[in-house]
Amino acid sequence: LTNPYKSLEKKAFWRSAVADVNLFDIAQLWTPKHPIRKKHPVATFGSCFAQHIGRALEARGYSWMDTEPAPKALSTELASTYNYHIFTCRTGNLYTTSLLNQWVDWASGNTEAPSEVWEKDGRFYDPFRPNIEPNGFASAEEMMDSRAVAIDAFLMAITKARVFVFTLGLTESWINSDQGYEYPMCPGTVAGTFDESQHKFVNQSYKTIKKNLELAIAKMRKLNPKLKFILTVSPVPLTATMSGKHVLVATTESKSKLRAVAGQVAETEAFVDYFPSYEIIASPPYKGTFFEPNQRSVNLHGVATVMDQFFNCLNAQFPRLQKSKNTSKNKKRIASAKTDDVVCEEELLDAFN
Amino acid sequence: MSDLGSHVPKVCILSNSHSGALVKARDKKQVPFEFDVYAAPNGQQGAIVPLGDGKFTANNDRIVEFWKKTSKQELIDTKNYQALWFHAFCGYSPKLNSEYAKRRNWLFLASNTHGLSSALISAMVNQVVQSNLALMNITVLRNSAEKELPPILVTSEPLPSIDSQYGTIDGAEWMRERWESVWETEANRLGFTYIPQPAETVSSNMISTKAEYVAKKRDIHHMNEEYGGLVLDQVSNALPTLR
Repeated sequence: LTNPYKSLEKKAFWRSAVADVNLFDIAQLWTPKHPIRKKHPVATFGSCFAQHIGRALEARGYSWMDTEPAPKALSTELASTYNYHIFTCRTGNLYTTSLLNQWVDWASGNTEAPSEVWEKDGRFYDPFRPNIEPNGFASAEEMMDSRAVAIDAFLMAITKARVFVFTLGLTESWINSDQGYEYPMCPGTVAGTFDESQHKFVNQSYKTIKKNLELAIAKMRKLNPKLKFILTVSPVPLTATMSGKHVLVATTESKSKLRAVAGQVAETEAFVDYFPSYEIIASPPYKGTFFEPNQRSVNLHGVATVMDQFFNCLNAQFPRLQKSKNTSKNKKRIASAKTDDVVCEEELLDAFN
Repeated sequence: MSDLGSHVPKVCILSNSHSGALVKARDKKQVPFEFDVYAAPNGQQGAIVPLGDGKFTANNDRIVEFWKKTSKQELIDTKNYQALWFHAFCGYSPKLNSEYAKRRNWLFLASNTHGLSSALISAMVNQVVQSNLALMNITVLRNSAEKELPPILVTSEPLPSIDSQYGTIDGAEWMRERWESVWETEANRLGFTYIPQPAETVSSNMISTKAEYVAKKRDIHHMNEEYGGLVLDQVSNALPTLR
């Protein structure tokens, strides 16, 4: 051994792991700390990129949690319009670690969810989920009821999940300086009224982001000591920045802070892992291949590549875990449907005989 | 249907197992019209298919087999009828799941209303009505080249008799009003007459049919000839004014 680099795997060297490899063959990007069995309940929350992870888990037969399921009669399209089946429950996007911490506080009863309601054209909007209903709610009461259901469902996600996937999205945030709570969107954009004296812009520091993430994780682990975390960073650039900087510069700064926090927390805590979806989409070797022409939205190939990496790495690390799902429930359902038909046929033929 | 004159009108009933109550009622009471029943069990249901010259068949052979058993006819010749009556179709479509198939009607919506917005419930009711087989078949009829179709009538499917299981459900009346209102809107849009379940058969909790109208004790879905008789009365009263 002439130097410690001599014994490293190929993946440790840029040339062998990246430069000499087709971009679709770049592999071993993630070494999962923990297995995810198909029976393990997995909750997904965070910035919008998190919804792809939930969908992919479900499509591959994993136990993606839906703790606030859409009414069963709702079509898939209508359910999506009303933000069902996007995240594990209807929190809407939790862009920042402080928003995550805020929801954890509401769910665990540490603080009460604020009573603030936004009104626009006779409809009522939830300041903390402003896009959750396409046209808002009929009344403030209806809005509060709906949010209470989502908070209960969020608590259930924390307490019943085995794995909690959280995608960090933004550092730029809007807070109510009087009350101290945070909005996911600037008041006055979807609804509400922007009040300069009350609504403050905060571009969160590395320290704040990390503190809120650690607090949220600690509180969730108190509710569910076995809970493990997978952090990801959304590769989707900022739509707009209030920082005064160019949006490209602001994006790099934000994503760098988020990536550093995620990496640091995963480095420190054994029960926290980091999955590099950000790198797969946004790093230079991929040459922007996975972005739509607007250079912002991630295309389907990008999502598929990220999720292939996720499952390939998981299977490589824990090859003997994947078992086929028990389909007895489905069999029962089919049997029950057949019985219903028989009953109806008998009833019909009885009348005509 | 403006002028019935002295002629006894004949009605074509498209239905399912719920037609049993109508047939049994006809055997026991005077009905001022004749009817043929083209019925197949809900699980076998499908769309009707225009053949031209006022004739229609079904889109699968199983239905036609059932039609032969219930009406002695293989196809519907609308020229033989003074009204087309769709009776008790639930929205049995692949889009909807077993929950709907089990409970039928607007009732299943009422079981999960906590935290749902009124806008969502309205959208959902609308979607379920749009998936209703009667409505889909009326759309087929209206889109067909047939210009001389008899008036069309839709009667609702009886609520299941489930008092003991469910008791009262908050918002059930509100839900029922929305259900009926969407049907009325569709009736105006597609030009048919919609008749809801006879009011006297609905329990005070608004979510089920009174137990006295159940055909068999252990079958909560199918109603007896007394119920069928009340529906025949409703239709008898409506026949002269059908559109």
